[in-house]
Amino acid sequence: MTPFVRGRLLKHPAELRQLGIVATYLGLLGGMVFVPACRNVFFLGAACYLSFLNAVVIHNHLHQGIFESRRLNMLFRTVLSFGALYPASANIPSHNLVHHHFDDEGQPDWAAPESVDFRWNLLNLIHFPNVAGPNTFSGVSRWKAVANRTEFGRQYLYENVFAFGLTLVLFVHDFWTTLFFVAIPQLYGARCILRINLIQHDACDISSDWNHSRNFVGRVFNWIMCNNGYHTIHHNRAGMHWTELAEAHAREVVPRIDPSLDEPSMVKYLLRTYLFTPARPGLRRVAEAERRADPIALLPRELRRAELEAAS
Amino acid sequence: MLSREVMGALALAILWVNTLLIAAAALKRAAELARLGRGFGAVAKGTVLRGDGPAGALAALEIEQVGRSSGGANPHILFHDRAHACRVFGGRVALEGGAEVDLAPPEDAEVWIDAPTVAKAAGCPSEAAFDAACGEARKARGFARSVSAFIVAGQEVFVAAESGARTGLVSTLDPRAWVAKRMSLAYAFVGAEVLVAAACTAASLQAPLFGTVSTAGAAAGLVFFLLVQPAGTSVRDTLRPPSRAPRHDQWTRPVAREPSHETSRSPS
Repeated sequence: MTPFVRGRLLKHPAELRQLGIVATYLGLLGGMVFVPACRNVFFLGAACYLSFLNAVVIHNHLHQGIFESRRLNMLFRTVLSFGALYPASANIPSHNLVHHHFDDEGQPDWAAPESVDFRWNLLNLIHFPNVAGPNTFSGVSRWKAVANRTEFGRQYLYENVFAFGLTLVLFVHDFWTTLFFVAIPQLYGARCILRINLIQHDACDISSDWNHSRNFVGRVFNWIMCNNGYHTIHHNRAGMHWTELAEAHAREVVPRIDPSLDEPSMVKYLLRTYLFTPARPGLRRVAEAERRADPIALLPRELRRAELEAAS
Repeated sequence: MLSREVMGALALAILWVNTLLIAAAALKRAAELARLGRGFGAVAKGTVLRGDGPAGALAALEIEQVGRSSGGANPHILFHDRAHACRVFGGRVALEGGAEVDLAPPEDAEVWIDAPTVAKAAGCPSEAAFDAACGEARKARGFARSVSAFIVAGQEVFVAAESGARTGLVSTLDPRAWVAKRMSLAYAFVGAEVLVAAACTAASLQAPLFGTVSTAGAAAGLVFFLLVQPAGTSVRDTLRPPSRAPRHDQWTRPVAREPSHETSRSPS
């Protein structure tokens, strides 16, 4: 299988996992639309979770296209866009260029945790996409208007047309089924991937090199999430393939991170932070940990951003 | 199997939780604005007699921006704010009623300048300036500049003249009227938002359930759900004080004036 995959269709054999996630998700949506018996709580719950994973695949694919063929990569972006009901290419400016450096030309990240400030922390988690979403799309529109981004603009348009066009066709086919069993999972995934920004960075020190992110290091969790729990190393080595993140996390991050930012379980963290504790946690001096460790080569953020912008 | 009734209730619950959160966020911003207004204490109108800053300025609003070129046959430069700063340099103001006050540079300053004045300061001064900026604006780093709008001698201003004021204010706008208008806008937004959500809900619950009117109500509810989010962030931006209001300045190449017959004619 590997020789067939490597060098022909997929860049890395592990990308089959990502293809499997997307295929299962689309299969579930199709099942619920066309087979009434599939419209049950298990299919809906699975579709919502897989929609979130579809957004995780968008994230990975927009860092490193999974196919050898550029055309296939662009085509896959449009398929992924339907799954999330937003153009996948929006990740280039919003995530790769702005969020990775926590900064948009001196302004806060479009998905900065500070953009929500309810005293009851659970409300921040629920409300966060209402702010981060519009911030992101208005930022993308400004970014797109600048020179030499016509190709991006075209691809962004294709993704919008496909995502909203196909959803509209399904609405015309069967309005209520599409609203309940397609639009709800699509929006759930899109809103959850925005919430991840809050979950992974709130109460961290974004000015530090190694303590800007919260990691979720459970093995099963990371298998399903294609290693997206290892967030610190992903921020610092954005070009690294997701299959290498666990090892790099152990090697580079663990000696430099405050142990409280390595969470064993996301579920426990969510329950503890948003359900059992009403108040929002304050900033702690987590960056002390990296000052005690040996220094390690890391390009300044401006240079990393410039490299990514040139590659986008 | 999940019935349509159960799923409809779930969809309406999502709609209302979202609606109320966006309303609560707008009310929170309005409360902050009211708190800022109260922090000015008593505000008096007057005329600037003297400013101790550059070129006799009493105060200035400074905005750091980066501009990038749009490219194409008719390029323009799109600016994006990086930072806002308020500076009160100190000076003397003649208040209505005859009294005169000396303003010292406060620790916490708010400088509010009307939008046309800031827009004038941010405008493209000349064709040469545009060409010079365009070269930089095409590069990844962009064209960095600082926009400074000044309040100078002779201008009418509103100042926080109370010694106990928490924030030193110098404004070319009436701050009380400005705050009141923005608060009204926030309340109007919240009222309209809840009203539209209620209308969508009522329509979607119209008998027969899942009939034509009910379907139209649900479709309107989905559109409302998608549009109310950017509306909420737009209200948030509108409620920002004039000193921190986001700007989206744009330079286009100034058109060189064709010499008119009158000016080209020789004086003889």
